[in-house]
Amino acid sequence: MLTLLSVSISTIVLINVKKWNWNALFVALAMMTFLSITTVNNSGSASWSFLSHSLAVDSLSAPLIILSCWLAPLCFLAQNVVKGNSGSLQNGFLALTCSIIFFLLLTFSSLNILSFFICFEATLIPTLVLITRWGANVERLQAGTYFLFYTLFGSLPLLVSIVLISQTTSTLMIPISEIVSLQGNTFFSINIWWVITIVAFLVKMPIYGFHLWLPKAHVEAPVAGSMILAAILLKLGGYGIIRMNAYFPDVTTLSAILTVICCWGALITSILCTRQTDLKALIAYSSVGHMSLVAAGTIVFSDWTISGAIMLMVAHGLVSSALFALANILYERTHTRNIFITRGFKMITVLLPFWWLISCAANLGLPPLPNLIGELYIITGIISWSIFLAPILGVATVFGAIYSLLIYQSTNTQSIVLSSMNFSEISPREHILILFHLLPLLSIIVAPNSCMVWSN
Amino acid sequence: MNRLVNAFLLTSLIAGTSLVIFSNHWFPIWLGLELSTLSIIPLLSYTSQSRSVEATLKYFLVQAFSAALLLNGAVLNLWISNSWDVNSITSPISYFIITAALIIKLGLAPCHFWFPDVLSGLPFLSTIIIACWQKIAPMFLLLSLSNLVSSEIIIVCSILSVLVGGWGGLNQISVRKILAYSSIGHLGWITCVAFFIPEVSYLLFLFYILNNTAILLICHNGSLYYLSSLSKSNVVPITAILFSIALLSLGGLPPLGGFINKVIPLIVFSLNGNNFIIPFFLIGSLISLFFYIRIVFNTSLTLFPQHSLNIVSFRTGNSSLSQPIISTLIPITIWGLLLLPIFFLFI
Repeated sequence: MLTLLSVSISTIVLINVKKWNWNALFVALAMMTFLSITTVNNSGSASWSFLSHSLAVDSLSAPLIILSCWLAPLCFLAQNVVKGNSGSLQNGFLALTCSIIFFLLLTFSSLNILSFFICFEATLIPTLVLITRWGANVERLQAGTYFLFYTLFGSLPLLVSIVLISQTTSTLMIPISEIVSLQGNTFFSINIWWVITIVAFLVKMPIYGFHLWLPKAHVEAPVAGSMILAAILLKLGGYGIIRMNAYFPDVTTLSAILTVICCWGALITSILCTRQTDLKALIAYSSVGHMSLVAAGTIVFSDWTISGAIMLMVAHGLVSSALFALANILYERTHTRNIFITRGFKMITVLLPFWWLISCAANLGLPPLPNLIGELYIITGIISWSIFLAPILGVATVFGAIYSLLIYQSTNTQSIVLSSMNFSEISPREHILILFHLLPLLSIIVAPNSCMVWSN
Repeated sequence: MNRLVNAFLLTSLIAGTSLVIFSNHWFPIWLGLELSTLSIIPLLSYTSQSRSVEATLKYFLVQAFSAALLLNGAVLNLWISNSWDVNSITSPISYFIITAALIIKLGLAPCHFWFPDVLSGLPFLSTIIIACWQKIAPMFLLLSLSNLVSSEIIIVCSILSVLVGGWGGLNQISVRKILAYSSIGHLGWITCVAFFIPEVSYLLFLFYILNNTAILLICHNGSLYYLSSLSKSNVVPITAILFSIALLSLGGLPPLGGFINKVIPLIVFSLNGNNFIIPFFLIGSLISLFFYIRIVFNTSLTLFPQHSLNIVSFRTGNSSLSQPIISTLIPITIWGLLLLPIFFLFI
């Protein structure tokens, strides 16, 4: 694990390479990805491996570490516009993205809850700077403010909760979390403790009530920021809930209420997706819907739902990032994200509709892609917990299919707007970008155990 | 000012503060406080700007009044406990009078009203003296008194300070007033810890002073007096980035050093079971983060479109003496979190 972290830090040195810094950084991060796949994989065991004093990997963090390493070179591949900036601004962009990846690796592998929290918050500042400095519209300042303050509104109570946990149990190590017991004084105090712990991750995921920052942040962010946000930073929430659940084994009433809210949230955001006019906002709301499902799964906390949650997190990370990259391919050429204008590109692009088809099919949950496996496990687990959520989740899945097909159909098979036919060819860089998003997705089909091992 | 006069006044300023810190008898303490006040009056008011003179006058009135109040409390304590010793404060009434005097001197709420007015009238180098150096003496007194008598007035005033520091800075356009309200908020966090473990407050106070000095020096370098001059300023780009990092550190975002100022008080509060006061501090800290973000946005994250014929080139500021000082202070903000284990020596 330490080799991985040191490699990710030493890639910062490559920022100073004269003309080839983007390429050098891409190659270095790709080598780091290869290193992570071969070393960090857990080979299917649900226990902790690579244990050191403060870093470790278990079956929950291994797929997420590999996911964050995988997306790092893809972010650099996607972001083409920044190359027009001056040298120091380019270096700033590269440094910020590398630092986000570094802190993400630290977050997923830290054994100490306080260091997990510090790295969890440390990803906020570079993402804030990415959104507000390299975003394209004037609303990016408000988007950055919403992003920062929604997240901090949740995570300051989480800090209080971590401090209280360290007082009560005099330890902050995650592997011990299943065998300590938190003694609340009254019935309410353990529930309030659970609430202030969970809110940070619910805001981060986001679930429906706290989701306002996500469409704003995604729409205003540059594509690398969008990709990292959608793929990894949202998964920090799911990871946090699964880690913190071990401290609160018997919060039943509130977790029941929260599960129902998450399921309804998935339904509502799926319906909202069909009414969006901005392509990136549509994909952002679909992220909210999928992650609400993951949140419901993690709060129910059975074997099946957690396995499904991990699988859906990995699959959704890849697919959502692919969709944002595809939307950006169109945006760079037409400079609009309006779905009434960016349509009908099947007529003038060569391989792109195929990538759109696979990404939208994955998004709606087509078998045998891993999105379906994750959703199936989660929905099965939630229905076995309560049968009354079955129609809600069913309708949410149907609406998920509706808007995913809406994305595909309106961007590819609608009639084209004639003014957008002045369209440069899709370069091989962009083809490789989307290919490498979808290739691991197809690989997970034949090896689902890499992302699904969890035992309670 | 004449260099010799300047040196003399600065020396007597340092002497006054040292007198307060190192003495055990109330009379030299009062003497040191008055000496530091009187010695910076010429330093602050030797300008042609009437705003500085007005700010100096307000500062003098407030500090003289509070020093007199302090002496009054010390004499009252002499009458009750028959000793001039600093460690002989046992009666609540003399403790209250002395603490009230120190709260006025520090600028904690509800006695904070003079502080933004005074700071907004002074140039930045004088602001550093008022906001950073002049707080050392009353803070040391407050912390040493907290060792003797625990009174909840400190907690009340610190909660009010944090909330005032948050809401007061929201509607300001003058950078000095924003930093004044941020200073009030930070002192609220620092003094509340004094009720529980006063030794830790020294560490937090040190972090606050280093951070604040770095920010004020960069502001002085670029003459950043108003929010509108933040984006037009001619600071070097790396200084703009360090300025933003220092401000975010002041706002308490991990992994920067200012996070210590948030995590240590939270640990101290929960150690003593006082979880009830924590939400007030969190609210104040979130609100004050908003105007730090506003400054950060205006400084380095918005770049106004420039005509390509006359691209603004960055030059160094007027006084290049501050550059090495800034460079030594900024690493505290970046790597200060590594000093967190020092706190665990105290508990």
